[in-house]
Amino acid sequence: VGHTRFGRSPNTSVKELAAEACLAAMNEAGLSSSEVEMLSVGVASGSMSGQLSPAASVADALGLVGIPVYRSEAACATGSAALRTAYAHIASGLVDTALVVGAEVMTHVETEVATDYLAQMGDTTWEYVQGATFPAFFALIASAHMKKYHTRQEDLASVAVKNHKYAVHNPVAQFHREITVDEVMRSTVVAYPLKLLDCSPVSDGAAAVVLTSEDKAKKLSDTPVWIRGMGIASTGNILSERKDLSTIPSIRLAARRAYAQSGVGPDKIDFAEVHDCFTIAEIVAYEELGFAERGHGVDLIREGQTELGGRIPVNMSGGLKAKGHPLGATGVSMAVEATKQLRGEAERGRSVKGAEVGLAQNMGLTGQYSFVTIYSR
Amino acid sequence: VKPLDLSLYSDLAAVKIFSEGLKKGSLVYSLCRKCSQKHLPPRLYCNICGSTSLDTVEFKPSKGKVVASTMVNYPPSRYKGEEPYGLVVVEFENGLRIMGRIKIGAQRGPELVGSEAKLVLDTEKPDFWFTSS
Repeated sequence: VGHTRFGRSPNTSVKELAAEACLAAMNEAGLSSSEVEMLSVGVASGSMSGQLSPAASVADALGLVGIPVYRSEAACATGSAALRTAYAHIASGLVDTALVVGAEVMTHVETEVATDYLAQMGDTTWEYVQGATFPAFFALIASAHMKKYHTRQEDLASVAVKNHKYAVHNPVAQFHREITVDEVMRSTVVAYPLKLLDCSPVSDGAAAVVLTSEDKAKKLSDTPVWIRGMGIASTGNILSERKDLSTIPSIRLAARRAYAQSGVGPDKIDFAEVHDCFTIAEIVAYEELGFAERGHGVDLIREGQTELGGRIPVNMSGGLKAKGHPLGATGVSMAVEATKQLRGEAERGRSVKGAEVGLAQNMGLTGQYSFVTIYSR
Repeated sequence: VKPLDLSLYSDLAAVKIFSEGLKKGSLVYSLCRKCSQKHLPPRLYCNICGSTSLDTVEFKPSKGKVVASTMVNYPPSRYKGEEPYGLVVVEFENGLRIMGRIKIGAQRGPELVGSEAKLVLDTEKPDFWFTSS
């Protein structure tokens, strides 16, 4: 596995970040470039990086030419899509060993421009034209959840506070700063009731993993980490057509498939990385993943059950909120984090001792793309 | 970044159906002749049963119920200068829902959910939005 620091990287490119993560992953796995049979690239938006077809440039930087190279895309779940592409190649026997890299450069354009690109990932014909932005979509979901279940703004703020707390101990995280509920509540309102500190930041960064067949994995590593199940689901693109805006059912469907494939249920998960692009999304994820009943996600936050030492620690990496969210990198970053936790290599203050099974939930848009992956030692 | 040019979009025909309705003072949904699914926004192709036979049905709701609500302070480029503005999902009596802007005074979001919203049509532009009643 390999991972660049997430954050603002003004003097680099998506190609260089991706290459840095790839080299670290190959180095850590003791893999030479001649052993890589395919390069699976995840970059969500070529437009923000100024390299519209980034896969070839990454392959070129690494000298990985001649092998199959291309990009997968699923908005903010792009990294998981790239992982799935490699997984499917290996599971079907097409290749033994793949290099998977997710990368994004988002800070090289003005924030306003980034807002526009992100907003245009949602439905452009009916919803973007009404003035919907990415934060607005999740604010609408938050409003429905708050009305139905009496979720409070302070509950949402507590998610950000928790994730910032653990990011302090994660060297690759964008923010190494604890925050308070009060600070979140007083931060600029982006799309009411979501405030700046409810939102994941724009970030640059990359993450990479070596994915290989069972036989090869045992030869390469004494401590391989296994994908036990990968559930994928989708949903319609028009938010207003959904029957209940307090839920994101595609997460539930993806989780059900991942649990079925792995034979592991939500009660056997030792830690989870969930897609907290906005704080409300983490609460909804608790409910859809089966960590809590619908309407009871906030109980986990209020009782500290998703803290280190709680029933199921969530986002010990700092999550998208505090580790950062370079769109294409995020799904692969979750795989890196799961690997570190399962190998006991996560830093003190955020390490889940003796973890056997971890779950990663990565989502594109408001669940139009949903991925749930279960990892084990 | 320039404002979005709607003519770029492939479902322009569906947008046109909707706009023609607005000019006549109506909202428009598509009714699938095969499976009876109602689609709002209108569609040219039924994504439930796959039929391409859909009728255009006009309806004239005066109000609906807010099911989700936010106030946008950082807008996309085409709404630059209009912020802050309210954005809601409204459910009409026939069960159909649509996303639209709402004219409200203060910072409000969840507080608006469950309340009534009045539909306002501009047949000239044409455009639609809501007001809080």
